[in-house]
Amino acid sequence: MMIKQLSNKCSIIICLLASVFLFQAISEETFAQTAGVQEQESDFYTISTLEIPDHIILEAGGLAFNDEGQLAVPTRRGEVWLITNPGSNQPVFHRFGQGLHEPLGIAYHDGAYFIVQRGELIKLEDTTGNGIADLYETIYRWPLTGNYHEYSYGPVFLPDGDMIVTLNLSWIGYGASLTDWRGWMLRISQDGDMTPIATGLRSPLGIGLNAEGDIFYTENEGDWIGSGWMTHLETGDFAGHPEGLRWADRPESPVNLRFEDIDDSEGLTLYEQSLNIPEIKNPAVWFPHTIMGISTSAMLLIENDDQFGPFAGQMLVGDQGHSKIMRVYHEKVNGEYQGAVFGFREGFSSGIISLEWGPENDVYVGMTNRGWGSTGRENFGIQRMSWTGETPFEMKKINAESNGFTITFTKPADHHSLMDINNFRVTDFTYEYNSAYGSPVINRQDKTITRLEVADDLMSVRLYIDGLREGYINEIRAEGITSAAGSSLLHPVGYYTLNYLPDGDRSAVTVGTGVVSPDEAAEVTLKKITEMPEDWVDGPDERIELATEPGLRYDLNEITVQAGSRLALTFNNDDDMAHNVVIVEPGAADEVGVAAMNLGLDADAMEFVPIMDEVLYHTSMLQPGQIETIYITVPDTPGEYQFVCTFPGHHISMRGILRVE
Amino acid sequence: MNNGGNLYINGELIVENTGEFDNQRLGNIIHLNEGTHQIDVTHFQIIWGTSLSIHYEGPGIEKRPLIGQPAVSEGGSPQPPVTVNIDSGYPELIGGFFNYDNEKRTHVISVGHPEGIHYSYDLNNSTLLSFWRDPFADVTRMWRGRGHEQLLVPMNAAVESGAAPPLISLDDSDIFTTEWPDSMKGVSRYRLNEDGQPVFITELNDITIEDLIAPDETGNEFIRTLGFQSDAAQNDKAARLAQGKTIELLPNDLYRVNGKYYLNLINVDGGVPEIYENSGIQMLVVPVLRNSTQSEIEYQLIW
Repeated sequence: MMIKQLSNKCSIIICLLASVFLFQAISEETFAQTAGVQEQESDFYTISTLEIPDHIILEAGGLAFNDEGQLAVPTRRGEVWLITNPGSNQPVFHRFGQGLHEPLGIAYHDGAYFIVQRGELIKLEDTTGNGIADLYETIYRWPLTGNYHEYSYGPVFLPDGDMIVTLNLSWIGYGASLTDWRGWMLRISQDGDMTPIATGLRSPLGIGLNAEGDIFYTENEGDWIGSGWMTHLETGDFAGHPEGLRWADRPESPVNLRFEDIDDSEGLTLYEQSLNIPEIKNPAVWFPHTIMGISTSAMLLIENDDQFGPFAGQMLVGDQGHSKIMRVYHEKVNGEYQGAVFGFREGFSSGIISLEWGPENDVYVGMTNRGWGSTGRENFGIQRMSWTGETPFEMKKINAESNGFTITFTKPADHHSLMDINNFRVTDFTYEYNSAYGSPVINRQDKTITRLEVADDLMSVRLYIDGLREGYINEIRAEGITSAAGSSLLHPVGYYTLNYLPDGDRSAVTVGTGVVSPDEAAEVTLKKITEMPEDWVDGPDERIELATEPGLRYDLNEITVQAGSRLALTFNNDDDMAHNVVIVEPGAADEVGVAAMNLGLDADAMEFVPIMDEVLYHTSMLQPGQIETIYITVPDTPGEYQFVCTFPGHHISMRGILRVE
Repeated sequence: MNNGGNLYINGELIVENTGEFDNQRLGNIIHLNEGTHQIDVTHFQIIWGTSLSIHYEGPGIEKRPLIGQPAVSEGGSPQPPVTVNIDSGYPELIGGFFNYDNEKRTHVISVGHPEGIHYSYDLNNSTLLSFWRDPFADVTRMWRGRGHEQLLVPMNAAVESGAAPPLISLDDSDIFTTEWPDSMKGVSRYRLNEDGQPVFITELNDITIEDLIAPDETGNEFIRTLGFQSDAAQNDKAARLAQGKTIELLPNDLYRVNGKYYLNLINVDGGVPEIYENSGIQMLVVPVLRNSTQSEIEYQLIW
């Protein structure tokens, strides 16, 4: 038994190495298609890793620097570590606090540490000056039912000294608000006075203030949440998940909406509902699921242009599952925030939970992937992202125009590439708004760019576009654009959430004249057989049931079947996120998994299964709680075939061997 | 036990379980003098599931497990449990849900001491929950994977205290309730003393309660020290030291609670201990803050 486990581990390591090489190979192939020199993220933003002593399980729930430049890190095991000289080669760790229950946020204020743990906002102080917290004072305590999904986040300090806290929904097969203020953003004074601010939240890990001091939060895809988003919240707002409305009739509630007011039976999008329900606050920025991460997390404001490139006022946003950081530009149109998200830096070592500025204008990244799995395979860690001082050639921002967009670059662009209208592509789409977990990409339209104007300084280009639609996300691609110095765009795609078109001239053609892309474009595949073939008169030779384990795993590591036999494989997705089962040729799990990650906006319609000979059979992409049986004629050639989940980010850990004998 | 095994006390065979039947339960009655006894258990596995648990009972002692967790659980876990070690010389504090009287408590700190005795405390209503001896805590159900149950589990048989908040107003209509009134928010803060032991501080209107539970000089039993402070003397307040089905005053001046553990009153600060009873519930109280703005009650917990 022991030997078998060891050999399994070895094979996983080998596969991981293989997948790294595959990533590189595919990247280079893409780069070769463009005219310019393709630079790397690491040419501009470097990542270094904090060495953590072996005995410390530093599952970082948050990060805060104190006045002495020490880094305070609360961990999911309830400790608080203080790290002296975290940016040096010889960081010194000592335990400052203990006994907390899964803290997921910390702020340092006036000599004390304010931490949100599962059941309360608590203040830790070292009153004797010996470097150990000796006073733990509850600022505000809230009830819990004992459901593991009742995470609590924050605090983030407001200028007046009050704090912002957010409370995750419980999970009982769907997101539920089982006790007070779950699914809400709360404002809490240092004296413990609590004021509910807004609701409609599901899994609100990120809280942040922009340069104007307005409060934003980030949301994770799930039930009612078609894809991750970042929403500006003001008193009385409703962000979209109806469960928190169960407390809206309390006297303290500033939200006038009621649970019964939200009805998904007409199939309207969140934006369409907002036209009738003014309390709905549309996301300022949607993060298209699997393209711009899968589990949006911390937010960090870039305060000035000296910090991290010419991005003052923009936000960095982390993603836990994809171990990466994105960049968000936002502007106000019609009095509301909206804007664009771009890729920024991939390749962190674990799941990103928190971001914090270090003393030397570098970004500290706190990570843990326990229970969820992440593209970065370490279980936890802290890394530091530093700017080399070189500015990458990027779309610095995208601004909405009354009849198009203006793209502004970080450096002068090459005139010829800017003048070529074929170097730009715009597609818009949106998501469903209903109780299902996540949403496919819907109502997709390719747009016609009718003309463009290049600015004299070659720093920006104005696109005139037919038939832009309010309430849609616009994928704006500029792959062929090069800088005057000959570099390709580091990230040639941005996603702009167009809630409002600014006032001004509309395009002559106001309805979509673009090519309509059918949402269900994928041909019915012969590789997904959910009805038992008629010629299986004696039924299947074997029935096998497969389910999941927490942490992105199947409950079986290995399935053994007879060559040429008839197999009924039932997949029971008893996890709380979407999964499928794809049977592939021996050794092909990585290749298929990477190809699925690169399906982009087509992924939903194709059920995250790339068209490849290596794919033999697959199930549907099953939502939590769904069960499906597929009928498989086992290959005649014995071998170690693989089964793998191709939901982006899952294939590295969620896989097993289908041994054909 | 499934399948079989033997239990020896001081080398003498007390229980012989041949494993003939699944989950066969066998027992025996013996007399044990006060003191330390050696218990040896053997176990063998033939077929199907694997389980082993050992209980004991005696005069004035309700039936209870000898060890907290089943020594061998059904199926067994392929991974070793995640446990907490106390190796710093100071207490370890762990936050986590805790099962008390078959109900999950959600705002609990468990305190493990290097002396080898441990307790859990409910911050929601300022109540001592359970106490037990080494080993300290299994946190697998909290720290492995997502930790769906978020439970800390004592690794030895834990004695449930009869959990009741430590202050009552004798004028109240229902003094036996173990619920805090809504106006009481439970522990408002705690400080760690120089030994790293938490002192739980609860504020109720104008009364402040300080609650320290710490190993005695031998390290074998806990001493609980309850301090009460008030702006003015009170005429109806009492410290509630224990509550349960039975509270008996024994000839040796110990109070036996639920047949499970004993209270040895060390300091009652001039108050007279009394046992109150109401429909099958008994309570041990000592009046406090009479003619004084401060009281301190001290007692030993023996189990």
